[in-house]
Formats: sequence, structure tokens, C-alpha cells
Amino acid sequence: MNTYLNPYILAQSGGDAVRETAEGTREILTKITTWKVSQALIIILASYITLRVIDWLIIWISERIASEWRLRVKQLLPFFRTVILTAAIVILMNLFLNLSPENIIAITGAVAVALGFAFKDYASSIIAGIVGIFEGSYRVGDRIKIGEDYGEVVSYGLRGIRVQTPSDNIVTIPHNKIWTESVSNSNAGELEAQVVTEFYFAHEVDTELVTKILYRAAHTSRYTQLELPVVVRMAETPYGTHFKLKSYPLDARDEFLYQTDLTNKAKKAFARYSLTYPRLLNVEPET
Amino acid sequence: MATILRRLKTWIFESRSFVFSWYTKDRNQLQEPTKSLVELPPLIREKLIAATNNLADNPADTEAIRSCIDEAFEKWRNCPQTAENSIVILTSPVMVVSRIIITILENWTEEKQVSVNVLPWNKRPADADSIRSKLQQYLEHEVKVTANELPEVMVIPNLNWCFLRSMDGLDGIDYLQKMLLHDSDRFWIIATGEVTWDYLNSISDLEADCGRVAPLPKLDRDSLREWLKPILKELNITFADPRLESQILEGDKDEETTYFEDLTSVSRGISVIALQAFLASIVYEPPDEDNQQQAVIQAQSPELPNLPDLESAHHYLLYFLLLHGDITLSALAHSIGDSESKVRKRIKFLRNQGLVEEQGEILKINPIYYPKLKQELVNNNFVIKEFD
Repeated sequence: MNTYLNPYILAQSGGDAVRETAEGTREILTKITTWKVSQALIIILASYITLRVIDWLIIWISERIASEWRLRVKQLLPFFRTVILTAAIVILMNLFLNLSPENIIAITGAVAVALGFAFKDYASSIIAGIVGIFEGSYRVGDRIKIGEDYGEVVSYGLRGIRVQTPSDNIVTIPHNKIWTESVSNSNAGELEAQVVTEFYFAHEVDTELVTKILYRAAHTSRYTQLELPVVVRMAETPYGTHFKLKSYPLDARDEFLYQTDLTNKAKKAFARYSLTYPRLLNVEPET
Repeated sequence: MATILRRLKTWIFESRSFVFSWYTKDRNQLQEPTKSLVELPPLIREKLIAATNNLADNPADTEAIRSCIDEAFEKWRNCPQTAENSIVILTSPVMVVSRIIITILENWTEEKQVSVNVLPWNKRPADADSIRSKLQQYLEHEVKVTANELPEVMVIPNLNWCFLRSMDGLDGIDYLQKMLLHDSDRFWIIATGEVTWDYLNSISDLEADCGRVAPLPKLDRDSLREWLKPILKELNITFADPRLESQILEGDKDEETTYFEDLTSVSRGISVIALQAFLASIVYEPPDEDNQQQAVIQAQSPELPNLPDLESAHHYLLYFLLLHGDITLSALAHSIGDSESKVRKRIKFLRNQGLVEEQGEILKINPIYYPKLKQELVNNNFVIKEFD
């Protein structure tokens, strides 16, 4: 009798569980109607348009106002994007789900499991992006280097940032890189970033003269921010004497123009004094 | 309290023009032309120009410079070995005081029994490379020929002409610095603009080798009123009702007092800007058709014109113009490191907008734009210090 009843009881309890789950799902999900779907589509479209408008507006304003405010205005971009996306998600959830405290716990658990398996990297990038806003590892307008990529952060998205490289390529880097890679930020929200211009000479070069020329090149370049230090460093290497001119442009954006200007000015002066550059050693290759 | 009120007033003036410019700033829209004397009837315009040309240098400026020079010179004369052997007069970058200094020193040879030598330059040498050799030639050879037993006063009426911001244009400053440091037998009087002084200090610590540095004090309402009185009298200029904000801030002061308060405020106490703002504020109202009301020449509330929309390349050019005071186009192109054609194109735009004046081959900033230009450059990370 027992052996006969057991499968029946099991089948009955299984049916109850399915019913409970179905009821639970019904409790979480509200009735889906055509009007609600239309509303959802309108909300998604409105959020997309608002994001585009905010992106355009902030970039437009930041490029028109005084340089000293440019980066501050651009740094508002991730904040506004987060607010708009959060608002859109909350409205959509409210539309389709019964958000009682129990349901929120149930949804959070289910979403966490789903994300954990299916969208692990995506979720990691989103969380890293939110952490990044508060940590300030990089902001829009900063000049950063992550891995092999160097350039100006031109956009701060949900999943990653877009970096404009010196060769005018746009590189998309996911935010979750900040968990594993080091982020080198040249200006960290400031308008100026140090520029290092390197020069090489033969060992016998007049180092005092070279140093004087390098200082003068920095002091006369139109791009130099003279409030910040200009420093010349020198090191002996097997192939010659290596000089580094460290200085700051008025605007970090002019980094490469500035380097070119400094090199141009200095090389003209070097030519005037016929300063000697390193020579290739005349060494016979081993056979 | 008075300072707070003055600051509030300046802020209201500035933000008013900022808000207004925000609405009107459009790259495709033409800049509202600066009010100029051209709008006045020819006869009145000629009279006004003649009266302006006859206007002496502002006595307050002259007195301030005279007292600074006298004090520093007497100290040096009493103790030449230990006292500072130089004085630097600092002015706004749009103001040149060489004429005032030369006038002050005119009678020094008799009065003070000194030998006065004024660097006989009225412009920067065309070749920047030759500045040092020309200075050396004058200071070491030409001056010595005329030297006698009297104490010697060496005057550099405009230090801006002794350098060019280029690889080969700063040797003259190195030379002068050396002379100032080692030559205590001479007393040096040097005049230059604040932007120039700040630049030279940041690259060569010139201040360490100079004695007293005396910035020209800001002019007050009364000294401006006294200075412009001859023009007001000659043309019988009356004053229009002040702006609403001036009426609120100045209380029950009469129109003339309020006008000069406003003029002092907009010109930042700099005589050359005040004169330009004064001229720009003059309007002519013709008599009525039935001749019941006579023609009047009226000074309306003084205002500074708005800047046009400027790009970063314009900022560099304008900063270099402030730095050098006056400069030829070829020297400017050499200094900034661009081709002459590129610089000419940008200068043409700035000249059409009224920001840059061209006299012969010399380019300089129109003084009336200086206060707003300074703010624009500061907002774009350029360093323009104000010395008090």
C-alpha cells in the first residue's frame, strides 16, 4: 500500500510545486497587455533619445565654454547616463513586475543567478563602471593608458569607455579592465598633462648647451604652461647621452603638437651649434 | 562694505554681459559692431578727436610714477653700494608709459645733477637675433662715450622691445639681467607690461636681480573726472540717466558721479581703457525738427564691447600680442612659430572684429577689449597675473 501511495503523493506534491511556482510567477509578473508593451517600447525609445541628446548636449557645451570648465562639464556625462538608465529600468520593472519586498528578493536572486552564468563579464563591466564613477580612475576628457591603448576618453558608457587614440582611432575598452589592469592617467581631471620629449646625442656633446637649448625651447613654445615646472633630465647610455625635457602644455589635447613644436625649435638650435648625434657603433657582426 | 559693493557691481556688469552674450553667441551671426566715433557728425567727431589728442597724460599716473622713481633713486643715491640700483614700473599690457617717464626725467640733468641715458629705441629690432648685440653696443660703447662724472641713470622705457619670445629673442634679457646684477654704478629705470614681466620672471627670475617693482596704481573716480574735464567742458557733454543697476547700487548720486563710478569700474582704473570707453559712450542727439530742443552730446553709461567667438589659435595670438605689447606681423609669426600667411589670416579676422589695431606695420590690442580679453584668456588656462 505504501509502495503504491508513495508515487501518488510524490506526483501530487510535484503538481503542487508547479502550481506554486506558476502562482508565484503570476504574482511577480503583472498582466502583460498590448498597452504595457507599447508603453515599454516608448520608454526604451525615449531613454535612447534622451541619452543621445544628453551626450550631444554635454559635448557641445563642453567644447564651447572656457577650457578650464571643459573637463568638469564632460565629467557629468557618466552621471547623467547612469541616472537615465536607472530610471528607465525602474519604470520598466514597475510596469511588468509586482515589486513587493518578497518579489524584489526573488527577482534579485533570479537575476543574480542568470547574470552569474550568462552575462558575467557584462555585469562585471557595469559594476566596474559604477565603481569607476566614484573611484575616478578615469573620466571623460582624461588621457589614459590601459594595456596597449593610449588616448583621450571621449565617452563613458554603461559597459565601457571609448578612447580616441593619437592616430584618431576609437578604441572601446570594457570597464572591467580596471579589476585586472593598471590604469595610467596623465591628467586626472586637470587640463594639463606632462609631456616628455626625448633627445639623443653623442657622448661628447656640450651638455650645458643642450640643457640651455631645451629649457629655452620649452620657455618659448606657445603651448607651454609656464606655471608648472619645466625640467631637463639627462642619462648616460651605451649609445649616447639621453635628454628628457619634461614640461606641460596649456591643454593636454595639444600634447603631440606641443612635442612637435619643442622638437622643431630644439633641432633648429642644435643645427646652429652643429651638435653631434649618437653614431652607430662600427661593430663587425659575429660569425 | 564699500569693497563688497564695488565687487557686487563689477560682478553684475560682467554677468550681465555674459548672459547677454550667451544668447547672442552664434558663429553664423555677425558681431554687433562696436560703437565708434564714426557714428557722430563729422564736426563733432573732429572736435572730439582734437580734444582727445590735446589731452595730457593722466596726472595721477604721472604723479604715481614720479614718486616711485624719486623715492627709489634717492635711496640709491644716498647708498649706491647697498641700495637697489633699479626700479621697474609695471603697467597694464595695453598701456605704454615711456612718454610719461621721459617727461618726468626731462629736467633731471639740471635738477638732480645726473646723466640721463634713454635707450633710443622706438620699436623692437627687426632681427630678434640682433637684440643682444644692439643692447650691448648701446650700453657698453655709445653710453660710455658720453659718460661724465655725474651719476648715471639708464632708462629702458619699454622692456618689451628688448625681447621676442623665440629661441633667439631672449638673449637681450639675459644680458640685461647680468648688467643689472653687476652694474651698481648705474641706476636703472625700466618700464614694462604686467604680462611681459610675469613671463620674464617665470623663465628667468628677473625680479631677483631688479630692485623695487612698482605696479601703476588704479585710478579712482575723481582723478578720471578731473582728467576728462577739459573734453567735457569743450564739447559741453551732458550725462544720460544711469543704468538701472547703477541707480540701485549708487543710490542718490548725480548722473555725473554715477557715470564716473561706472567708468572706473569698467576700465579697472586704467586710463587708456577709460578714455576708450568714454569715447565709445558719447552719443549725439540732433535738435528737434521744430528746434524746441537743442542738439545734445551725451555720455551714456560706459560699456565694454563683447568679444567675438574666438578659437584656440586666436587665444595664442592675442596672448602673444599682450606679451609683446606692439609687434610686427613677421615678428609675431616668428615668435608664435606659424607661417606669416596663417598669422595674417587670423589677424585679419581679429582686426575686422576690432580686437587688434594696426598702425603702419605695428599690431597691438585695442585697449577697450583688454578687461574681457584678459578674462577670456584666464578662463582658457593662460596665466595673466595682476600685480598690486
